[in-house]
Amino acid sequence: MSEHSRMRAVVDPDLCASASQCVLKAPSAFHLDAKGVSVFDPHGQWTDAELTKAADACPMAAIELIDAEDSD
Amino acid sequence: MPESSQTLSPDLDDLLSFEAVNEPRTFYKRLRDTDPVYWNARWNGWILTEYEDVAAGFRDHDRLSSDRFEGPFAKDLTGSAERYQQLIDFMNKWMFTKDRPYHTHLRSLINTAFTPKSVEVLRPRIRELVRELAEPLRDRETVNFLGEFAFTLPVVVIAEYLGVPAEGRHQLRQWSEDLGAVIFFEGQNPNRFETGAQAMQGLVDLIRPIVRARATEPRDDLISGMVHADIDGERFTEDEIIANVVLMVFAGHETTMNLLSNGVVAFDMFPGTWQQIAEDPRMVRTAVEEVLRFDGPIRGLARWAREGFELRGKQIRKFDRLLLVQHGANHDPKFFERPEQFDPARWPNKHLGFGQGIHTCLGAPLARLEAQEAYAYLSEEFSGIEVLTSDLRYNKTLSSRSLQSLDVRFRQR
Repeated sequence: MSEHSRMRAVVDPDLCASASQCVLKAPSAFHLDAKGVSVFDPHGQWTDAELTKAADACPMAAIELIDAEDSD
Repeated sequence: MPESSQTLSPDLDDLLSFEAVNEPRTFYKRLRDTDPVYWNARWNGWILTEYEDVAAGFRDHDRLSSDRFEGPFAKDLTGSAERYQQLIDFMNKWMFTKDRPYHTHLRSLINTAFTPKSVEVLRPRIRELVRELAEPLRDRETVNFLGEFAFTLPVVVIAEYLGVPAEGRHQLRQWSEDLGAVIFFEGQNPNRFETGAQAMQGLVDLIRPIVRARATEPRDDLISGMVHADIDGERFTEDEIIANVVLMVFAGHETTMNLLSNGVVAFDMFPGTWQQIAEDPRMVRTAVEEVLRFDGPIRGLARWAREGFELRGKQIRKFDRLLLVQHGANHDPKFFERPEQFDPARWPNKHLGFGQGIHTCLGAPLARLEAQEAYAYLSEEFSGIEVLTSDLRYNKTLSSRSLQSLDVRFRQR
């Protein structure tokens, strides 16, 4: 559950190539917008493990994971 | 088709003309200026050269298919299926020729091995190989850059990573070229299915015993990883593994060889750029992206329409072919400032050198790594790589941007 999660993801739109691996690995955390750029949903029902898998799977290294506590 | 004359051809329909093959910047600019959604009667399809259209085309998996076993590209392959069954069967398991959902299955099982994080472990070995290969080229009057450096580095890297012996790399190169002729529709080569079938046979005979050996005795290599991969209950079949190892041997070196050599030409064309990366090694990362934009290994890739739709006032019909010209898109002045300038510091640089969408080049992180390490070391060691070949000539293929030969001299610092 995202409420208990400490992670957040930031997608760099200049790097995202719409490969969609993040959507496959964490479908409740990522979707592609009209321009094909991956968008992170901080309120989705994802887990930290899914988020890590999604970030690792990105062929463009476009997803950065940050500790929510650091960013808030 | 006879060999084209040296003069620039006004014929926009000839995608293999002297101009189209050797001067793509002028050729695709003329195409884009004439009509960014151009109907090519000879190729019998649409040629897209604007960034926005090409990028959207790569992402439009619902309407644009990559499948080579259905639709307008299928006849060529399936018509040969009976005679060349093994070749066709294995090609039919290559992820880049498939749509979802089969594509998703194949890519999921191998994607992890090619992520930036996974390939990072190869960096020290790549660095070592770059040094080993460059050392004997010092003080030489003429170096065959393609044969002595650009070909060897990627083929050794991919062979070692997969766990395929690299000793037979010249054989691997010949087989790869023969398969390339089948895949990239080199229509003029009448024997391409015959030689392609022999190449596939050779590769399958080489790889199948390795796959079987790794099943019982896994090693620290990619074939072992594929044999034992289990992603949420999904596994590869033996033939799927063999087919995709063949694909990675083939795709993993030819394109990277062209990336490395096209970059050397670009640096030579723009004085001062080589010195720029030598002075600021961090710039190597953006420089590699700029090579991919300015003169990447792939000129364009074909798709076909699953349904009819309208594009810039043109009626695309079901089963129409579309050529998504990355080289054209990467020089589109609507998207890139001063597109004809090779600028190693250019950033952001959302080029289409690796495509976009679900078929985005699987090997992109590895290709980047190899090119970064090669340019970083070479620019540190040498004050320049001087191109000696006076008339650069490129191979006549629709998809790739590959030099026929590239003689250079490494200038000592």
